[in-house]
Amino acid sequence: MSRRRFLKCLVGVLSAPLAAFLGWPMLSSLIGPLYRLDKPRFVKVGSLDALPLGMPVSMNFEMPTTDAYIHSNATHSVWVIKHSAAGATVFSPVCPHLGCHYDWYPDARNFICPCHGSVFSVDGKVVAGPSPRPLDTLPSKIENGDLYVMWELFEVGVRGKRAIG
Amino acid sequence: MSSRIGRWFSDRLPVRAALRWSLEEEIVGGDSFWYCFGSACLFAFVIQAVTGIWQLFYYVPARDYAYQSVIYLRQEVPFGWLIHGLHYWGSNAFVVLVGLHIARVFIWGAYKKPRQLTWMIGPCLVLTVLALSFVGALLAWDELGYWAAEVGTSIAGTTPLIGSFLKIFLRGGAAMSQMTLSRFFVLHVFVLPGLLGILIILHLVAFRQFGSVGPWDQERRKKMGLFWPNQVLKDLIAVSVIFLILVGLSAFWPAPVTGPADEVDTTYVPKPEWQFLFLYQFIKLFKGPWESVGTVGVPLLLFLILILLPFYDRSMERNPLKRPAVMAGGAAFVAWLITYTILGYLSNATPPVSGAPLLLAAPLPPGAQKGADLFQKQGCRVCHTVNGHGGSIGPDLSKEGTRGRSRQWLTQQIRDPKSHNASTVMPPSTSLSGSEVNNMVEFLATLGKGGAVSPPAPTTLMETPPAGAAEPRPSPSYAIALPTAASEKTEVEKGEAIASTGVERGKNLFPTLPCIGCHAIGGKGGIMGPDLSGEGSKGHPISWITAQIRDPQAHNPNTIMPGFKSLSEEQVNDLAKYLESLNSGPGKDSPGSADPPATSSDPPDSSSDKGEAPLSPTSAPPISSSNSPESGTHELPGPAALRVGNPSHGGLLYEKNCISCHGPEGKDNVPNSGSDDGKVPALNPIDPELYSKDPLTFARTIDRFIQHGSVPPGKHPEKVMPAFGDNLILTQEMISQIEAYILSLNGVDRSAIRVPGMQPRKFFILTAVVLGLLWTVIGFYWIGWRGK
Repeated sequence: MSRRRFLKCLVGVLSAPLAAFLGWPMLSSLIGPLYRLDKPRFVKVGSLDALPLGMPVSMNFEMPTTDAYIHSNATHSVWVIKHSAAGATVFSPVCPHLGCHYDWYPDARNFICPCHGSVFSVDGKVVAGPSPRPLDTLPSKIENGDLYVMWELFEVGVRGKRAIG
Repeated sequence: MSSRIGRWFSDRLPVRAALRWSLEEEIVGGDSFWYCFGSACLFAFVIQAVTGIWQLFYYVPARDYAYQSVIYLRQEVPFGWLIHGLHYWGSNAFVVLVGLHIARVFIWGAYKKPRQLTWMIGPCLVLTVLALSFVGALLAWDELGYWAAEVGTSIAGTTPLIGSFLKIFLRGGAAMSQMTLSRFFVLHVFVLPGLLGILIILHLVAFRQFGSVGPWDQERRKKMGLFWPNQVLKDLIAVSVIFLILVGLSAFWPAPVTGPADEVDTTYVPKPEWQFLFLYQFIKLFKGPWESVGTVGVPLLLFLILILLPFYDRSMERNPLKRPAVMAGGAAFVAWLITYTILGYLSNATPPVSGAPLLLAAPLPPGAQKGADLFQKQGCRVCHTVNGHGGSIGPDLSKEGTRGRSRQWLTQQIRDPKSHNASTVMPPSTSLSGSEVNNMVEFLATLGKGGAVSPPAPTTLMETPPAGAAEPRPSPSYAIALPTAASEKTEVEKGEAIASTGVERGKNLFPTLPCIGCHAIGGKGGIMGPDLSGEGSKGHPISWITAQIRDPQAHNPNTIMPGFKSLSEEQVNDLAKYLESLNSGPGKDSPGSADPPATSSDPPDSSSDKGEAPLSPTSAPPISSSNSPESGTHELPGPAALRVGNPSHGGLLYEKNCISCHGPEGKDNVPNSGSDDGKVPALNPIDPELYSKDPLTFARTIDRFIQHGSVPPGKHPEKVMPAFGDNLILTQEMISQIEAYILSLNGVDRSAIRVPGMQPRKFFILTAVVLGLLWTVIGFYWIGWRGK
């Protein structure tokens, strides 16, 4: 093998691990922050006292949120169905199909998502449409008549309910 | 290069060679306007690049400023409307021109050997252009872009194996966030344009390797044309026409203002941009586990079909008339694209609610007619289609009368569907009285008899075509629903065990119903509707109260208080008795509680009384009216005043939240007994003291009322404006939409350009004149050239 050829081969052989070595911090900087999960906490949503029984009510609430370097109060909404003074079901407003926000249609007595027509009954079960699973419930507790909810996001478009943030 | 300076440069840079390479090209068969599409695509790229860079002087890729910075450019920067408009329409033009260019190249057979590589770079270019339009939309952080990106990244997430990683990589995390905006920004401004630039260069160089493919007809190939000056002049005319069209669109059809992105607002119906509609519609055919085949497999297949064309069409024949199979295939592909784009545009995923009229073959006998009206009102059509309109959740009932079902079966089906099919999702209609069910059965028995009624459209889930990007939802929906039979019974049963009088029963029944969500009694309850603590002293007879509970629309057609037909007569009577017994003033927390109960309330005049006020659908936890400031002490406007909303979207939100007090289009003077004015202030036209022809001032003025609420002056006003902003009933974004609507009612455009530089219409005319001169000059040159 001539010297020229040897040097050519050497450059080729060394450049691959070199690229990998230089690429690793670059890729890591793009991927690392993706998996940082905020520890979910219970947040006060509001008083249950004046809520009617057995019917979905949309409740808005504010929650201190960290979005990378932005610390602010984000506004979220949840669907709340009060069963009694001590029990309520809370649904995430995110449609499990592809993430649009669905609405309650009293005429039909169903939740309907405008994006692709998923329909859910009052207890969250899929009545029609492409949603792969029923509505996601959020953990909640009631203290002194106030509702506290743990705001979580779940993977959409899959059959299993999996928290992602 | 005659001048000395010119020679100095051309000795040191390959200027001459570059000019020769780019301009001295012989075109077999002569120059032609058909060959302009490629240059037009290049022109579109240049327009996007230049206007894109210009926007960067103002645009800020931060969640809290993105929308505002774009609005600032559009409203306050001279010719900002033009720069933004060219960029918006330019992106649409780019996609169209690329399509036309592909079609032209396809017909000429310019993908065949040896030009395969030039062609193969094409689909990569198409993909990059589509990707650019997708990520670009998010940058404005408005409703349109935000939801498109939300659904789009979720679709990416359904890719097998790599889906979840892909989704969080694109989003920079689990949720749509600042990181999403930053990533899309880098992609849109640097990575994708860079990629596009490289691909364009490769495409041009590959093209120049063999030059223009020329006509397929041997005779015509004998004539030779020149790129410079002939083809260049034709290209110049083509691109100047395109430029004029873009300027015209920017001037007369500004890019949509859909309002700031809002995660909470459920009235916005997301829909993809037109170039993705065909895919949106087509993947609806892939249901359940096959969905990812549709969302990932289909685009991949399309890409492969395009890019591999030179390898499955290897014949050297280029005359389109002699390539029937390929031409037919191409035509079918285009027809499929157009059909699915149109279907996608027309489709409306939300099932129609009572809105669309029932098409009937012939007038019905009175009982059946009542049944038809009930069928409408009860919302049956959300699930069942009748004569072309309705949902597809339940079976089509258009021919129900011919199915041989007995009246008894139908009655049973309506009252208790589960007795026929245990796994049905049809809810039981406990709300209907015996005669009402009979009428409905009569109606159903007529369906399908007396000839068919042709439905107006093929798709069952179709509503009237939407206008514009923000799709209107059907009639307002509200969060409060009617109680199910089960929950109602247990509470009432418990109540009955303890109580014995109607008043007691009504008192126990009241908290189990949605009433307290909107009406306060004794300081506890909502503030959307009037306080009922003093209902007994308002002079409403029991018959009025029962009518109000059953059918509030009969008293006030605009109220959004729902009718409670699910309650039995006894229950309604009990409630009415209870309410009539309430003689105290409002609870001690609310203003005016010190006064003794009002004695001067007017007796209800059934012809003019508009009845009790309505209910907010998106009720936050109800709070007593003491949170509303006294009128006259309004605080500062909130962030909503500074954001530009969309008037028609604002109209939808208005119908949900404001119409029952302020009337349709803000016009009706809805009574407000107990207030000095005697009525709720009209919004259309609004009090001249609040009006301003400057949109920002006007918005700021009314914003204070919406944010902080208002108690009208008076001894004991029945209706009080809730603090929509402070109490988080509406988000700031929703308030900004409503403000745009109220301004539009008063003839003020919230998104008006404040510093145009030159009025858009004038600028368009000026551009037309300038380009007209250019065309005239070129025309003379041509005549002169041809004359030789």
